[in-house]
Amino acid sequence: MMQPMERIDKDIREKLQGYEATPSPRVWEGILAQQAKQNQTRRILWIAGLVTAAAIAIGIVLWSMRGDDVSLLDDHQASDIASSTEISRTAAQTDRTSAENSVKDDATAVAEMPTAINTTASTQASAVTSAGPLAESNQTVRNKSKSTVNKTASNKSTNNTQAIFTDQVDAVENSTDASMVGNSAIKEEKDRDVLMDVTDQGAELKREQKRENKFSLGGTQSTNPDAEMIQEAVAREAEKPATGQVQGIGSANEDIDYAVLMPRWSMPAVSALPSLLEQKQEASEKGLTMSSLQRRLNSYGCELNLFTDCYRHDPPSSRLYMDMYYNQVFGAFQYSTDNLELQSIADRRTAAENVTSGYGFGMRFSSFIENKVMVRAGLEYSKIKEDFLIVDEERIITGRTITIDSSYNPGTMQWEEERDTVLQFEVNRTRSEYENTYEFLDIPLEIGYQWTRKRWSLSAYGGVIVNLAFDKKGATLNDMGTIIRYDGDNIDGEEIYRTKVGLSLSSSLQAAYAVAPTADVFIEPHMRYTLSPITMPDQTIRKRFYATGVRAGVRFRL
Amino acid sequence: MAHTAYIRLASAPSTTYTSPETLDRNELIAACIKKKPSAQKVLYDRYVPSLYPVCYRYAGNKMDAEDILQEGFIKIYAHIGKLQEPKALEGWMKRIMVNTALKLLAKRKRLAENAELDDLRDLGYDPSVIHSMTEKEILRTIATLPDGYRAVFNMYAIEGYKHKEIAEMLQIEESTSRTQLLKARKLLMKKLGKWRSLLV
Repeated sequence: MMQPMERIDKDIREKLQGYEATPSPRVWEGILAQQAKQNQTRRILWIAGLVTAAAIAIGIVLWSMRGDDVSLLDDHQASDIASSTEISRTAAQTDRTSAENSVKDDATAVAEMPTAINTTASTQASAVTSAGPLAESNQTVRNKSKSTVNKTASNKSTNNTQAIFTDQVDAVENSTDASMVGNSAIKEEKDRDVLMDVTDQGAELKREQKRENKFSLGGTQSTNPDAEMIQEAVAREAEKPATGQVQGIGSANEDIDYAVLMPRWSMPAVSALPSLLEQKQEASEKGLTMSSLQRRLNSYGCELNLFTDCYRHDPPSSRLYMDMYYNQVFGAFQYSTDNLELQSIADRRTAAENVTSGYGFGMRFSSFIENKVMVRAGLEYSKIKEDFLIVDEERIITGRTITIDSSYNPGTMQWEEERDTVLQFEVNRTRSEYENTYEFLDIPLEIGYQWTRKRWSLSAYGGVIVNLAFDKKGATLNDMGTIIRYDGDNIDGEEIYRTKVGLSLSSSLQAAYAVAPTADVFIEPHMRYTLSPITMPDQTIRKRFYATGVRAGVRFRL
Repeated sequence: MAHTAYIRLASAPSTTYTSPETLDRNELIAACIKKKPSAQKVLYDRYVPSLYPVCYRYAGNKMDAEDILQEGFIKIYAHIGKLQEPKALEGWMKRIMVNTALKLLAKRKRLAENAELDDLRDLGYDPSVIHSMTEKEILRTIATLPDGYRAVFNMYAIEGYKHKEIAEMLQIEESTSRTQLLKARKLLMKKLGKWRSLLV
């Protein structure tokens, strides 16, 4: 027989079996809210993952591009030669000081040790000889080297060391002759060109010495004989066709690697820097790679305004751009229906659903496909917020007052009643308010045309936006005027919106300003028009989405 | 005017719609795995009446019961894909609710609040009392038990767990589970005795 203790278990279990009760509606609302929060967290993590992946990809691309400097320099050469005519005063003065110090040292050394002349000459000869393969490959570089020698000679002569320096130059010529003999088996014909250059330099130097006597030291740039001379030389260079690109010289001689760095520099810039051998030594001591040295030189050149294309937008100096931007969106919806009976509901929705704000962000890459013609593609997220407010009024009769006036009618000899009914009612206003959100994840595919002026660029773009995902949450009125809610999908059993909005047409106008050699800031008004309604095809009331807005961000030149 | 709810079935052509209320258990689970909100709502509507009393029995009050219910359904939606046997859906959901309730009570350290009974005499048991009470009254009586007793009583007497399982789930000794069950029963009988006196 079952013990009382066990009996109570059984009785309660049987009594409660099948018992059902309904919780308050707040449970389901809480579930929805918690799911929405989870979705939002998931979405943020997803976007953060995308951005991280993109950043890593960009980092890899940039890292891999570090070794491509030679080819980039090729593209820069023509414009750099032309830009060399813009010589900064800073560079010229730096040149002068550097040369003066150098000549003083040289003069002392020559005075004390006559053999030092030969040593110095040998060093210079070696440098000139090392420029031989460069001259072979690149006429421009060769002439720059020549001009460098000219300029150094000019500065030296200003310190009244003409005699010493003339000896030096003679020694250079002699040493170069000797070097040429030694190297003739290998590069006889090409080195002869160098010899000719050096010989020319000697003649030029003598002319320079004569001219130098007419000038005093420390003049401004406008009266700077060095600058004038260099400008003349550069002008001559600029008239020459930019032939003979630096190609394949990096492997010929290690010193020439440094010469590869030079084409980006105008002549005064080259002489303003330490000698190539010193650079090599410094790079070796500091463990600098060629790429890092290249960046240092480029950065230095941009700071001194030695390069005029540092901030220019013209292709092909900037082949690929990466934009990262914030997007302030002003969205709008339009309702329409072919069913006249539903027009009132469409009107109610128009009044009830009001866009309040919108924002987004994105990243995209653009590239030139032709001169001034660019294509671009990327990933853009945007969110539109909308207030949904419906106020329903319901009159509820709360009382009925019937007044009966009785009066005796002598004519009919009867009492007559006159009834007056007064209704009392309350107006119940039901206020249904929700915040609707629409989120878009899109791929913009656009083609544009770019105009440039100095640091400014103006681009007009047009294309399509392919929607990847369309997420929505909130409430609306269905075709029967009933408020239904949706969250990603349908909640109240009716699908109102599509899962993707399809294609949209887009256009924009972008103004960019170069703030750094590799970075622009830009502002970009844009428009978007969805080709199809965002509502499901079976919805009688169609809802279309339009958007305007302004993107603002940073454009990196890769 | 009532409107009909629709969801799109993955296996059906894209133009075919089926009301989620008409989905059988397997289809409903499949739709929930795809995280269809309409299917989740149907699942909720279909099973919440039987799950709510379970939550109430453990929580002892309406507010906590609803919290457990909410948390439990979030877990159900998240893990329904792991359900291997669709027939076991209701039992699986009930277990989730019980576990959620126990975690909530443990989090609030209510399981440790076991009242010391000064009078554990066998007060006798009259089965007619239970039969004369409504389900709601029985639930309210159970709800008056201390949390620890109530949890063990619910798990052993109603859910059918063994003491070993209860000990593992509540992280207590098996002997503690037995003691708490005994105390819960006696306390319950005491309360039912008061109820009988009211009836008389």
